[in-house]
Amino acid sequence: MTLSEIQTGLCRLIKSRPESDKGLDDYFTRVSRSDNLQLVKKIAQWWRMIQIEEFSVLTGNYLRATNMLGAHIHDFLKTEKYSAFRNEVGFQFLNYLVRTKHDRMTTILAELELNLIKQRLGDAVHYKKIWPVDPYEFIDHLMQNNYHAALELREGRYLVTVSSRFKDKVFSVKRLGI
Amino acid sequence: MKYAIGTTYEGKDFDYLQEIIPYVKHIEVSPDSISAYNQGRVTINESSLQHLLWMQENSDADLLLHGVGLSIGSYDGYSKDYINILSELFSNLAVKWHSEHLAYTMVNGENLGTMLTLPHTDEVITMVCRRIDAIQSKFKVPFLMENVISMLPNPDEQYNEAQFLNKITHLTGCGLILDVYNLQCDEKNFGLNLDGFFDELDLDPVHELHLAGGLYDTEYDFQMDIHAHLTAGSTIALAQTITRKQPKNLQNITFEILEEFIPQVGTTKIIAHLKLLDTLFN
Repeated sequence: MTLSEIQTGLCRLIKSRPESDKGLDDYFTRVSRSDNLQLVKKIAQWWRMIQIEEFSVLTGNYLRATNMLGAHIHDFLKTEKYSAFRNEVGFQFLNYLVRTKHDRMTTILAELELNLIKQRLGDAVHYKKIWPVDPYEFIDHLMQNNYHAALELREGRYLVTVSSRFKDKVFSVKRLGI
Repeated sequence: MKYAIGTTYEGKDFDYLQEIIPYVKHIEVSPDSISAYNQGRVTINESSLQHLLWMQENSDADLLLHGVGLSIGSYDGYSKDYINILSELFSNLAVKWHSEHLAYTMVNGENLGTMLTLPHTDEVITMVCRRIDAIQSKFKVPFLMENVISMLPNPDEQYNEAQFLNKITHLTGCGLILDVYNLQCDEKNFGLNLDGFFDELDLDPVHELHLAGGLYDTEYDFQMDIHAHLTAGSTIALAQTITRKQPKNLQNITFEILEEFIPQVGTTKIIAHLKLLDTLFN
């Protein structure tokens, strides 16, 4: 077997992608049934979890609190070509959450955090979104690990703006009428 | 023989660097951990670079670079981003030597999320040696390759681990880092015969030893290459059996610990550990 065949086959197994129509060679069958392959996947996920939680504190906290972090990272690793650089993995994960369909708060929080990080790095940002809960209260509860309170906030309409033009604030919130 | 004792620094906690620097003869930095991807290109973090410049101005500690992202064994080519950040570092800092893992992390442009060993075959030896030659012509300091732990078995191997390392060092003249903890992992996880390994391995290319204490996965009964603890006594003892053989180019011994685990272990204990290693090896 050539190096190209070995590496391409192992990559497919690590990413949990289905094999080609002609089926697996004996070697890949053995690897696919081994504990070692499961361990490789577990380690890959563990590292990405550390990187992503460090990069995206708000979204990471929310997903962990709602027991969705592991599943989302698993799907992200399986489907996305993610970077070897940890900050880029963080961007890619937040973009992935925004792009794919998830529960309302995951998407809305990931998009806000993505824009906050870009703003901090000096990128041009102009984000305007209507939030269904007060973002200050939501984030405050989340950062205090009081996620039940975060999930039980009274619904409303809040216009949240993040702009690279802001000089004295990170984002603004305006409560709108019903 | 005296050995320089050093440790790892990941470029973020300047207070930590200042605390440990009086107790080390070298600092090992991973170029990957001090660089970031911004607007389409990878560059060194300015703050990390300033920390290393401070170190070079205020201490005698040598700087060793130890990468994780080169992926020298990928069949479809190694990382050009990694070479670019190495160039940036070499143009700003004095580097004693640089090193990488004899492994691959990328396939067809995709990150595997972990590091895998290469099949011990002539095909791989030819490919890797050509790449080592190119790297050695570009950067005029010694280049070392490091043994990594086995995770997945490879098919159709022509050489054992020692023969594979010997072939590569003899053909290219590159140096070696022996990761002592990784060898213990391979002994525990895959039954590597350490006596046989050391009987066969040419120790002359060994410039550096890596020491670490790792995590154990109870679910899969596997000793992992995740540097979370101080070095265990058995790892230090194995390193001492290597130094007793007096490898003629061995100069540095590095205690590796991941920044994520430094708060748990504590700086005071790390400093005490570095002092202990200095006493044991000098």
